[in-house]
Amino acid sequence: MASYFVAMASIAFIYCLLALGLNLQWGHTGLINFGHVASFAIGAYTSAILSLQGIPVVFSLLAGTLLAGLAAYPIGVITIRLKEDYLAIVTLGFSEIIRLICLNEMWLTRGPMGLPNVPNLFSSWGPKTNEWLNMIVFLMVTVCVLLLLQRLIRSPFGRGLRAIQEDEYAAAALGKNVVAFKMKSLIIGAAIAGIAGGLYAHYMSYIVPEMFLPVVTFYVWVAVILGGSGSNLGAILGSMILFVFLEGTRFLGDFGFIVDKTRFASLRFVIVGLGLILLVLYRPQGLMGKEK
Amino acid sequence: MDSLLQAAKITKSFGGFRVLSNCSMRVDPGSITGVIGPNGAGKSTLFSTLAGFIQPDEGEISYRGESIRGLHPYQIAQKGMVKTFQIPREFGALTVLDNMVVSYPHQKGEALPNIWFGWKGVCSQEKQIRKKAETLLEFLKLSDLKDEPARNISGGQKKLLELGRALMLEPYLLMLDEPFAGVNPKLALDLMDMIRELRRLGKTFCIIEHNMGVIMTLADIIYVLSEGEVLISGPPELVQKDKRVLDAYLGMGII
Amino acid sequence: MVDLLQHILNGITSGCVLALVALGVTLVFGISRFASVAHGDYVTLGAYFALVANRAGWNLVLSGLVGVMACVFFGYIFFIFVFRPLDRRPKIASVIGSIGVALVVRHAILFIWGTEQHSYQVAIERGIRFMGLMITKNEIIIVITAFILMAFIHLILKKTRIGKEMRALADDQDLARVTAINPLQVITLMWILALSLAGVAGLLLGLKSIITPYMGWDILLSAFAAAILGGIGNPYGAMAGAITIGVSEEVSTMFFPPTYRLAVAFLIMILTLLFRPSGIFGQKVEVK
Repeated sequence: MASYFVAMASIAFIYCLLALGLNLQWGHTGLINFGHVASFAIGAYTSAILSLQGIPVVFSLLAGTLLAGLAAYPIGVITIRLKEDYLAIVTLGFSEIIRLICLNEMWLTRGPMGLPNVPNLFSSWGPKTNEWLNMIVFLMVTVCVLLLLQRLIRSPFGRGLRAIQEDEYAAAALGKNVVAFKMKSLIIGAAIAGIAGGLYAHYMSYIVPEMFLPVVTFYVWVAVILGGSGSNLGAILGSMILFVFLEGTRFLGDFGFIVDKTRFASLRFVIVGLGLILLVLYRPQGLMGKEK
Repeated sequence: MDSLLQAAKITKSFGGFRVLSNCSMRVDPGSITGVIGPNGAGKSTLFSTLAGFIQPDEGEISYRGESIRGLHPYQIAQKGMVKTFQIPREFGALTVLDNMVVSYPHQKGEALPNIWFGWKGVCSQEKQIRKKAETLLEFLKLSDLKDEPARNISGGQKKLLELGRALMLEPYLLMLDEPFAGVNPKLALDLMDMIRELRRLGKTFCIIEHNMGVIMTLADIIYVLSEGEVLISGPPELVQKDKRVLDAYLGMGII
Repeated sequence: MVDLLQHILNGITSGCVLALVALGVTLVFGISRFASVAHGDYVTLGAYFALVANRAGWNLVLSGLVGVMACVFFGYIFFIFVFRPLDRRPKIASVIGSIGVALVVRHAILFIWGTEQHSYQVAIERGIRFMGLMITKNEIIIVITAFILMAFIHLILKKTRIGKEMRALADDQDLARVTAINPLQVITLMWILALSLAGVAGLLLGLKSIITPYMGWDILLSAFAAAILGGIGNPYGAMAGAITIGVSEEVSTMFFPPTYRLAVAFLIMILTLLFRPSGIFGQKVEVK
């Protein structure tokens, strides 16, 4: 039982990280990133591939984080100057392209067969992995990222972001390089998703392209909106609630319903979709956000 | 004397409709240049073009000797040429003080490394910036409102805040778009005094205005725009009497 | 050479189906001003309802009609309960709402019909050969149907009063609203058109390939690329853009693995946004 709790908590922290990254991009900067899962995938695959080549996990994680952040740069260059709708579609396309690359480039990612035997974080300490240690590391990373983000938001940079969100033309007229602000936000958010991806890969020890479908991006969106866009703590709260719901209802399929388990799983997502619609309609500021 | 700002033959069309034709203008350091003209003459468009928000189809713009055509608005602002908006664009959710503080250029705390590795430096610079902001707010007589969310203050106060934010950049040239519009007479007098004081301290002004009483008193030189062209430029006394100017205004049904 | 022509022909076929989806997307964008991410799933919805009718023994045309009616029915419900209330809010709210709708529709379909692939019951036909090229009867049906619909849309836009109002509303919302144009009427008709097109697209797509819960979502990106290429909001652009993208995707399979077709559409979209963001047929847009 405790083992189950630890496993759940670990995955929950991954979701928290993803939500924190997206919250910076959307909640604090107003970027409609529909390709968040791409950064997740890049972080996961990079760290997995490098560590399978023998590189120590710490460095492969770092590489995954950096690459995820860097990959956001060209996307930002293309879209930040354009209307918000275009950013949404282009980022969506970007995440699909990344998934297709993971699916196709057998020489790199073993395609649909995925990458098995990804070393655990503590593999250098011995074959038996300690789940509790894993969870604590994930917790610490999440708290760390949260603190770094809180500092970022309270800094003049964060204040600049708020000004840009209020009125970006006025901010530009006052000498703020709006594009640079948005770009930094995009990249940092992507890097955070990259950390999440790397940790995820080493935790699951086996990754396949199917783990990085666009629907993951949209779960994170639900979490961020649920918690209140623009609030880091809200992002954590939202992802916790969403996660508990998804995991908690996973078992309902076991209670002898007529339809089989996988089909029943879809019902949960219908509810997630409905929840998103209701949120947007009746409480767009989420649980902890400010009135917009 | 070298000009501070020089615009030569600025031309701009929007979808086949010509809004600016061959506009040339020169702003000398330490001067207060007025820009007047009937509605739709292209005054705001000219300002937006000079400040980099709109790219001219033809023409050259030089500021302090270097060409600024093609630069982004933020780059031009960083060089010390700051434009305000006709309708105030305050950062509503931020306090009046924060509106001022955020405007300060090149803050250490805006650079990522400093945020996490140089926080002490950021905090001490922050103190200096706040002090400067508070001093300016006093000058603008907005001190009492410094903790008020900017969206709550009155229209006239917002206009002063616009000016205040621009001043935080320590600009050489201030391009003010109708700073006196909707401002009550008492405040207008205060504003005129402030502008004169700032000019005394070395700032140059270029001001679009409809309020003839104000601009004729304030400006050293006046440009008159009509239907996208510069009709005439000269000292207020001359411009006021010029027949073409009266025609332009009468033709639009406005005196 | 023949090989290339064959690919081009195939591309025109898939482009035709894509055109119907792209039209829907561009209509919604032009008039309601947001990117409808749910549109692909409307296509899937149409395909599945047509499947139900087809299984019951109805022929293709009637089944298609059922699919269209289902699309219009459910799509209109979503319009009334989700998109119309969100109209006054920032457009991002509508986009997020459409994500919710997409999730609901797709997973409801998954729940009811499962993940297996299906097909319509049509006789297996031999293809027709002409000039060394091969085309199946289904493909001919697809192309003809698509062209008829495109012509129909063209007539509505150009010849009817409400079509003109639609174009006016797409051109300048504020201006249109102060004239005698009734925006609600126009918007309602726009949705009915867009949803009907999606329904037909579903049938044709199911005819052309297989019916899965992800079929609509898989072509959504290409549909957006087509709409952007043609100038978002411009129906003729969407049609031309779709044919272009369809052909490009097909021809690319001569050089790259077929799974990268989407990458071709994506590349075209990126190039368009970089060099001519208003699209081929759109007016030049000032990019800040």
